[in-house]
Amino acid sequence: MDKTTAPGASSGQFVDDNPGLGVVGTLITAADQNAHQDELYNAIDGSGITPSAASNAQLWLAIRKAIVERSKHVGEVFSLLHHQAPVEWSVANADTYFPALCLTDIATSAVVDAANWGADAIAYLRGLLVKFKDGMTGELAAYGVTNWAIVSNVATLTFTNDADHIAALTALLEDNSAHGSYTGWRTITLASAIGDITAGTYAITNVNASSRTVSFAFTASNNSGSVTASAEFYANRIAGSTTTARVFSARGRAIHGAGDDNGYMVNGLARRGFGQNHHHSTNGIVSQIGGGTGANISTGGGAYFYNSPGNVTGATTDGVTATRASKDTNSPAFITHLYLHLGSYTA
Amino acid sequence: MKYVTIVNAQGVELERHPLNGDDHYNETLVYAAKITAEAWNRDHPEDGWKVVEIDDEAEV
Repeated sequence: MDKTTAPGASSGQFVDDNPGLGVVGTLITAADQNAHQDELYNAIDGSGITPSAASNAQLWLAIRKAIVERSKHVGEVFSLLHHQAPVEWSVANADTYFPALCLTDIATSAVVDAANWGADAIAYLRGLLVKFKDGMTGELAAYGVTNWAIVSNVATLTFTNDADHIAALTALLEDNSAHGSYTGWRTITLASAIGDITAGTYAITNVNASSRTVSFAFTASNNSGSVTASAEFYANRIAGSTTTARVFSARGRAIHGAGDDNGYMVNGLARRGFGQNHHHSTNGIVSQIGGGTGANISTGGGAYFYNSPGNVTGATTDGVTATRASKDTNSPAFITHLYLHLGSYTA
Repeated sequence: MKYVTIVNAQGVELERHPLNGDDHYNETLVYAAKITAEAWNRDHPEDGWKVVEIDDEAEV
């Protein structure tokens, strides 16, 4: 829509009729009226609200709805200090509308569907590839397959033997360990058939990072072969469905930036807590009780012990409390609920 | 030749992968083997899988 160009307008502005001064007012044209109407109508209609002659307060509703839905990207993870369940849009819920999924509500993984969250959100989730070194030099999204085998209705693909493929599969297996089982977990997608294995998305039943293999159920006669092919991992796909996606728990998890040098931090995957490798050494000398020296250690009798300088002591405390010990290694943390913005929600 | 292996509590070796002259490859492979053995132990803790690096020449 642009400013009016109707007869009698001045620099795009409407002008009042003023016979005393000989000014002829701007002509009210259908083009101007329709421009105003269409502009308002399109804003209301575009927000997903059904335009209605029964209300002239729909533009404000449309603005509020659009702000909630579009102020974040679909797939954006954000936090709130309070717990909030999803709330569907309605005029009555205009102020509480909440089209986001609480990731800290999920025990392990949850299935979301297009009926509740909209086709766009499901398409977004289903399109997320597990990319090794995403956006970095050496990015890997289609993983090289060198061998395939079917044994007892289990298909196994063997991947390229290089450090990147091993690291990528290690990150995937680490995600499985963080998840806790192969139930309700990730899938593998074959864009084309590999050997006797037809194209499709399959629920992974085993990953071996050191042997570089991924297995899944596939009913066919035993067979195997070498191949030059590729397979992909979509982080949220579910085998056999195009209208649902799987979302994983963020309970107790910190957010890490992707892109470490080794490629183990893969966006969309999870990791358990890790402590950096370290070791303790002693610097004591060996003495024999009664005054012998270390030279006697292989032949002397009696007990031997390390002198006190060689004692390995506990970790240093912070001077305020005893050493803190926990099941996981954690950095200092600020704890909130984590949410996944999905753009729309219908209960 | 040096290898990384995964063996169980009884010493039965299930996997053997050769190491090579690429330190990054070797470190990645050893780490992958540890994560793999750990995942097996999660499902079958009684097996006691662990990673052992061996050197054929050292054994002679």
